Amino acid sequence: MDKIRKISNLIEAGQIGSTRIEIIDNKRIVVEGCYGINEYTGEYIKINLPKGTLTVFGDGLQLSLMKEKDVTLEGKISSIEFEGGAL
Amino acid sequence: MNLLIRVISYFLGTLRLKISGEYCERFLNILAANSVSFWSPYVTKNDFFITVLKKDIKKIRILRRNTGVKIKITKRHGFPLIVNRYKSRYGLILGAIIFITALNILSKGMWNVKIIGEAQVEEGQVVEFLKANNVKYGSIMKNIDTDILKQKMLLSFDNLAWVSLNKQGCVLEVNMTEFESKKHLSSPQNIVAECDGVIRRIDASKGSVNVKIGDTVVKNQVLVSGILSYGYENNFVEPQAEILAEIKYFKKITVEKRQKSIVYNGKEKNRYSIEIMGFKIPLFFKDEQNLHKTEKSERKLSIFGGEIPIKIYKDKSLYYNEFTYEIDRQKAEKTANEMLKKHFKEINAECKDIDLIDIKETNGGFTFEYSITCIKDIGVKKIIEFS
Repeated sequence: MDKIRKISNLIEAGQIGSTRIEIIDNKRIVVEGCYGINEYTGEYIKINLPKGTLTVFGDGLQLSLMKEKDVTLEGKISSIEFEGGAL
Repeated sequence: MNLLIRVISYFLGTLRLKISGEYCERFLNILAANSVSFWSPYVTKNDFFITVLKKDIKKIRILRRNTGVKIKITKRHGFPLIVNRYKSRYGLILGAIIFITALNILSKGMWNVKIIGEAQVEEGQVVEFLKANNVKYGSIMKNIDTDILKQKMLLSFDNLAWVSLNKQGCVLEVNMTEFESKKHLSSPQNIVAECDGVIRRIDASKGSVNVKIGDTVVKNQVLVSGILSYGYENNFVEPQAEILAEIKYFKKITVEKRQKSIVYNGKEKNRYSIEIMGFKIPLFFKDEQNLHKTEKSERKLSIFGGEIPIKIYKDKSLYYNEFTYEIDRQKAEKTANEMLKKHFKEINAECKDIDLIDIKETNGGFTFEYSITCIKDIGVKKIIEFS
């Protein structure tokens, strides 16, 4: 019971099951807790989030790392766009 | 770190894949979800290019099913590619294994003996000594007991003062030093006359000279004494002197009428043999029967300054024709004179006068009798016998 309470507290605080986005300058972006890539071109990359989509626009964008739920993009990032419901 | 990753990728092998189709991004998601690593993605209008490890290609092919994408391997890179290329070349692999095994076995053996030092012991003598003590070319270096061999060498070779045997790879270095020869008087000696003569010159550095210039001496007469008397004391020295005397004697020289002459016809042939690790293999088939003289030489091979146990023997045969001819008396006399000159050189004498006193002709040849006067060192050392 204590364990269940602990987990539900963590979910409420946004520690589990949420998306984490890290941007380093305008050259690198790390997205944790995503559901993979939706679209991939040199100018933009669409990433599926638990609730919605994240689109990263830029120039020479490349996937540098892709795991089950984590994606790292590199390139010249110009803008980021969120679509869909509240994250 | 990058270098490490590149090295690891090289040894695991990588493939550059071209993914084409409608749902390439979905396929990438599937790969990520199934822990298939890929990197260096590149996107063109219609296609995706990624690099994967060679070991993952089977898994990728299975995951590709029902995704609607096509995969094509555009490039292969890494060590597995090289191995694959020579997969069916069993001979190459076998050869490599044999080579490595042979190198390993041969490197444990003793293949060369190197003599260091100024001792008057030849390499051949040392090799024979080692063979007698069960140390041959090819013996395992580890099993050679250098301490015992050293002791045995000192006992076998009387002139050696010190010996050291060192193992240097496949070479057994033998370092030797001889005793310094001590000049000591073993027993009292005199210098006596070898034959009768008249003393013409005396050059003495040790001993007591008993004759003077102009004296006529007879055979076995003491010329220089090794006993030096001082009052009641007698000291013994090893006499050193050169006593030149004029001597007269008769000599007969016989010259045969039938003489043989050798004329080289310019034809020569080289025959080679090779000795590998003590085994001599001739590199020719037929042994020549024609008249020839052989000059032998041998050469030891070396690589980068290090000697290897391979010798090349060269037998150079110079062919000649033999002629026999008869000589007359004049030519015989000339030959006899040449033989006489050779005789003076052998006895180390200076000729003063030669008189041809008699010539005898037989069926076989000519005999010339000479009366010779010459100057030579007539002193010879003789041990003093005490009765």
